[in-house]
Amino acid sequence: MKWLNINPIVLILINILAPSMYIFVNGSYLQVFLAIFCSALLCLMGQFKKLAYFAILYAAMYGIYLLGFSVEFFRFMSGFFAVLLQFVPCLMLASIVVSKYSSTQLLSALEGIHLPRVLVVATTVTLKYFPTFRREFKYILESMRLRGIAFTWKKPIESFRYFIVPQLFRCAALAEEVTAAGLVKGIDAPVRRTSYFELKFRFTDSLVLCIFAAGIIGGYIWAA
Amino acid sequence: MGSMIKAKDLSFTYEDSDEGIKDVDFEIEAGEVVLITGNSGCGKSTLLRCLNGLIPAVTEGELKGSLNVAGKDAKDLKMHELNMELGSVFQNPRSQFFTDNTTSELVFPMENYGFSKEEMDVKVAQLKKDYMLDDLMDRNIFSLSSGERQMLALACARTMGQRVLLFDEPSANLDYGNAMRLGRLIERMKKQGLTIIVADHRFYYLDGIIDKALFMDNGNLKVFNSEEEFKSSGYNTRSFDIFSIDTGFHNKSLSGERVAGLNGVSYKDIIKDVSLDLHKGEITVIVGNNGAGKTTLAKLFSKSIKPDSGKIDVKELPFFIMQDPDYQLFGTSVFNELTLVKNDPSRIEECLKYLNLYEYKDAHPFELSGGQKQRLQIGMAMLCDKDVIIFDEPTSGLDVSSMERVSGEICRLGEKSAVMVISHDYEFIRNVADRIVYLKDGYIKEDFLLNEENLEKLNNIFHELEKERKDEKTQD
Amino acid sequence: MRKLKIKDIIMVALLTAVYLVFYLISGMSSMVFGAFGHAISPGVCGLLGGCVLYFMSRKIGKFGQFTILTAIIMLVFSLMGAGYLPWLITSMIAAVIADFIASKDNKVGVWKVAVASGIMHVGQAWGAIVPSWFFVESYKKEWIERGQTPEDMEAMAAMTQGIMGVLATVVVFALAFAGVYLGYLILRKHFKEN
Repeated sequence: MKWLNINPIVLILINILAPSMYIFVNGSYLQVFLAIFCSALLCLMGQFKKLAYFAILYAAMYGIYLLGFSVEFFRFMSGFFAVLLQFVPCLMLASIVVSKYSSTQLLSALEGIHLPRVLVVATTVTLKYFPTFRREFKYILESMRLRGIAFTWKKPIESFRYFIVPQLFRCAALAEEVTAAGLVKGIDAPVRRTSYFELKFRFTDSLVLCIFAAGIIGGYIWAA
Repeated sequence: MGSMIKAKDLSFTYEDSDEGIKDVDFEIEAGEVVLITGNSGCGKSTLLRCLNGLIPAVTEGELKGSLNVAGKDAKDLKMHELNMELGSVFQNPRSQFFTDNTTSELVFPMENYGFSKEEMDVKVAQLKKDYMLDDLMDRNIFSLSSGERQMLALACARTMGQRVLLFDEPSANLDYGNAMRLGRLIERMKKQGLTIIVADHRFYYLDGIIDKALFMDNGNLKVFNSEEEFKSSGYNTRSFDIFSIDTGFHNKSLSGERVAGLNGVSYKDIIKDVSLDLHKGEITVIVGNNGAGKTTLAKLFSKSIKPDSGKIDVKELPFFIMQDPDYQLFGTSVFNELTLVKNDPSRIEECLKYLNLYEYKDAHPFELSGGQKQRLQIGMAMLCDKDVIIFDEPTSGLDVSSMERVSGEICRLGEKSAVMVISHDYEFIRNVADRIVYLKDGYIKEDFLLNEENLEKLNNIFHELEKERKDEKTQD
Repeated sequence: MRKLKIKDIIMVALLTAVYLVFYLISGMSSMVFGAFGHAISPGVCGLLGGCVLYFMSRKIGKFGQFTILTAIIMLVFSLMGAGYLPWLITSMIAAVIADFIASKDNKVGVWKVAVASGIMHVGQAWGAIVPSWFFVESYKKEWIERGQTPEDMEAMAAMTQGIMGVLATVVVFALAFAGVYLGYLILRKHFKEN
């Protein structure tokens, strides 16, 4: 059987909406519905390993949550795990989004919903430099060590200063170069941006969204 | 063949600096290879920025005169229109890419210009063929070698079908082999009728393919209409054949105290059974291709990494100046930066005067130019009083006159300390080296003193490095 | 009002990348403190990232800087499937308010930037706090059915809603406020401010 391919926009959208739906819908209904809905999606997409992993996580957390009702010791944690449990189904979808697509592809896919061009370009830059800077912070620490001003908790503020200052000033210098590189690549062209990785919105994608919406509305009517 | 670019009385003055260009006139025909050269601060990058529209779009100042590109007045063209005609390849590999994935990068301009998916597919296939990108698709840009990055940058600059290419100091971040490879590529594109404009102060890789040289001096332009005319002019054009330079030899008697050493050291698959001693008063240059293990060697000396086997013998942590100065400047001013090394105002003052940086003593280190930053670091090395000083590619991104200054200063450091330099800059090596260590695939292949009789050995190493690049290309 | 140019936006994007590194560090370090840590993690982030915001207000100082920074963060998290509607709303509203307070020019008082940062981070924290009010309401009935006494339930609700909410807000604001002053302390000499 061919596994289902779902447009990542659908998954992202569900994740944005789902966890706050208990404002309208009964909490335990939502919890059950989301768990079933997301597990079903993972099954259809052939992600059984992920599903098993999350099932164990879910069971463990649910166990602690239930323990909270009978064992005094767990009472305080119970509420916290009740909150965390809500997020497990979304975590399942998020793990698929992150493992299957690169951030640039996702951003590009998201252009289907007409994001402002400025925001797309800026986020592209952020996505590129986030890993770069993470790497470069290691270089800075190394160079602090070699300069004999290694990071120390004895002088936290001074150490923090040495750590952050080179990177901030580099950003200011980089801004000009990156702008130049962007302008010669047409970031200011007054046409609608297209996307190489844009994924077509298929029938199955709409179907998944409809089922999700039906589940929420159903829960709302049922609770009322 | 018609006129592609025509400048008449083109002038530009910066808001906050005297540099700029004055009444520049020239014409570039379609299909020409044009070199823009001159010393740093002469205005060649200003001229280039006028051509690709960054002046006046980004840089503020006063622009006068006229510039025509492909028959249109540049004033009437917006950035995005101008860049449909001109493709730009910048110098800094860190800032010229917008994404972290090669495929995303290649399609980025086309997305901006609103191409359809089908158009992009056609174009990507074409570029893949023209620039041998098959192995480079869908990879993390960070994982590419400098040569591969150059190819990608080149392909990106042609995504819109640009017929004119502008290069900003391509040799600054390329080793000898890759620069020669770029030269061959430019020759090929010239045959395809493309117009190529290169602004660079090193041009050995363009020997025999230049149609026109624009020589900038203090904002003024002198046009040479052929390579011969340029070569026979008074300007120092020895850079066409880097092997012909004559720097003399140090011929020091090397009997300094041994201050650091590796003994039978191996590290992963990178360094294999290397033994190397460093002596006071000696400048040792490590050469070898990317991936030969040069930087790893430096990291072993500075104890950033531990060897799998063998012994490292260093009395104290060496002063290690890494490639990019930007990570290594922590001070609030140039003066303050040096006090972090040694709080001795009179020595710092003396040092700044020697380095010609005294007038910048209150400036923020990040306000300095690339060459000045590099020299500030040399100042730190002078003050640190350490026995061992290590430089990783100290001349990358520097122009010839900055390189020569840095050479002189490193030579002076080498009088007192043991200096180890990693470099692929031939001219620089000829200026500073007492001893050459050739690293290949993690082994020391050769280790000799640089003198008249051994010069041939050094030249052969460079020919070998270039040949490796050629083999790489035929594999593509 | 000075308008953001392309170069300013690119600089905001770069600084956001630095800020996100701190976001990651603070997210991980607050996990040690469990539920409460989760609620104040925006504050820890504000403490570390204050220098980034201060640097931005000095180098750019134009209306929209906080909004764009926040919008990029929201978009990045949404891309990873971690977007969350109430959080997106409260964060964006707070960012716009921050812009009204401290984006007049690049010379606004340090305290204004500090207040802006405080509000911006409280906005992010509220994204987690406000929905929890509804959340506990939604569960109250079930928990009582399962044998909890209504009194116990009220105590727990008060814990999550009242004390946690108020405490977290105050702590987050204070940390973020302090973060900007930390940034000022660190960068003062670099900007030659006294």
